[in-house]
Amino acid sequence: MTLGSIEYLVTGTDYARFYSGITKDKLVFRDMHEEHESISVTVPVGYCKRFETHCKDSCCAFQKSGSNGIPKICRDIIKRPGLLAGALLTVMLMAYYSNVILRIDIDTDDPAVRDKISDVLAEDGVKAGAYLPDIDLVLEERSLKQKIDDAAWIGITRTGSGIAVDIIKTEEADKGITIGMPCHLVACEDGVIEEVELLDGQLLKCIGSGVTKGDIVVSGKMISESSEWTDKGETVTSKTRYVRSLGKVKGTFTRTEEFRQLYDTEIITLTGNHSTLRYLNIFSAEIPLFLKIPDGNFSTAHEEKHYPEINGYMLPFGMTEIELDETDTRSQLLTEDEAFSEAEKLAYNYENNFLKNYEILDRECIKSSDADGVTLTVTYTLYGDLCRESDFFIPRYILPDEENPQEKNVQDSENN
Amino acid sequence: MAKMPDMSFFGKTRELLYLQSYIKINDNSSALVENCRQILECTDVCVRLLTSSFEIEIWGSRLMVSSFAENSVEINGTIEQVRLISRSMRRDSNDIGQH
Repeated sequence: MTLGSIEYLVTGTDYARFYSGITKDKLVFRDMHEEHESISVTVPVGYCKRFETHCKDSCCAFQKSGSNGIPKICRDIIKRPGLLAGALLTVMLMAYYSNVILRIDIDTDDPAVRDKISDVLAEDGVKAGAYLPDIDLVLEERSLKQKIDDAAWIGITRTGSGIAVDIIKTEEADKGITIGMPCHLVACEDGVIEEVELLDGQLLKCIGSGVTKGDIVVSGKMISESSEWTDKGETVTSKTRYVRSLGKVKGTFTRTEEFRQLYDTEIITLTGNHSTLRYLNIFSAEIPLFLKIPDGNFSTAHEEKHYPEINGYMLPFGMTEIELDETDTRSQLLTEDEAFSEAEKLAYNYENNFLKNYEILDRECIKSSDADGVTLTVTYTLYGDLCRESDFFIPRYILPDEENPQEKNVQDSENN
Repeated sequence: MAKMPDMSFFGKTRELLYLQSYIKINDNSSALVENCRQILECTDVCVRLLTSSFEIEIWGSRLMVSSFAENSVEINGTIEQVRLISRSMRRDSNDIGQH
């Protein structure tokens, strides 16, 4: 009776034959009794055909008066095509969404690395909505490893209808500890030394002296000499010690940069068209509620997440709305003043990005223009670090075999 | 009074081969009859079954017959009376036209 049963009303003249046959045929039935000159009986679905054949053999007429279980469910579903269509749609959606990428989790806190990975994945076609069986995750891992230098190791795992990118970032070794090689402090700018904080090494230039780019300010090669007078004369013993020069050499120097801005330029403008993308969030799944991402260039204007709360506890489902503004790239002809203004912006960005570690003492601007655009030449007078570390030994293990010198000693590459 | 069946060779054989009819009654709500050979009648008030040795009459109200396994019949409803009639007596009464 597990699959359901059908209720029959049997009418006829010879019930004795019917009863006799039903036992001989070993039919399974339930709730058989006579009522109003007919026999009511419930027969399991699996025995219905045999039962009907038996009724015909017994010269009894039968009619179905009801059904239970699966036959009833089927009949009810047929009467409600919406249910059938909904179930069919659900199955189709499940089949579709189980094979497309709904979300990409990138396991890193660094937004720059995250953006790089997202860009590489998008270039390779791995983005929300991509068909998962078409994506070779091993090849994608290799692609990511080749294109992203910040990553020491990258692994991609399929997680249901999404992928998770695990990343181990390359950590730069601490120079002083891992390399441990002797080095000089070499001037990287033309300037005047004003302040020295020396921890190790031999200072070769005094405070107030000028240096040019490449001068050794603090030497890592320390030579100590001692002389002894004997009967044979003076004996000078020199002892060389190599150290890693540690310290800060600060000074004033000038740096000149040119910022060029053409009159004919491209600008990004808002077209005024807005678009909204909605996602249904269920636990970690992000199901897009749109069929297609609109064509064109868009910038995210606003992103809102709506999660219902009960007594302060956020429920694991909700909606995400992303409002997009359409942008358009247009060519624009700038006037001279506008071009200089843009060049000033470039200079401002340069100062914020590259001169953060220096104190800007003075700033001189020279404006010039030609037929194509304008040039802003800025001479900065800066105060800050004048020197950088410069290793003067080449470790033996990084030399190729064929280039190895005959002598296996460490080669002194010092050229001063 | 119904005549008790005599202990015979065939009777013992049926017992050993479990060919006797087994009747299990739960309160007055259901009765299970095993080794039932045929259903003779099935109305709301009376169910008549035929086994190898007896004709079993079950009287009551709202009686219904179900069969879930070969030669087994379950009677559900309110059982008031169970009557066993020996098949030999039944033949005799049929012969003289009493039944």
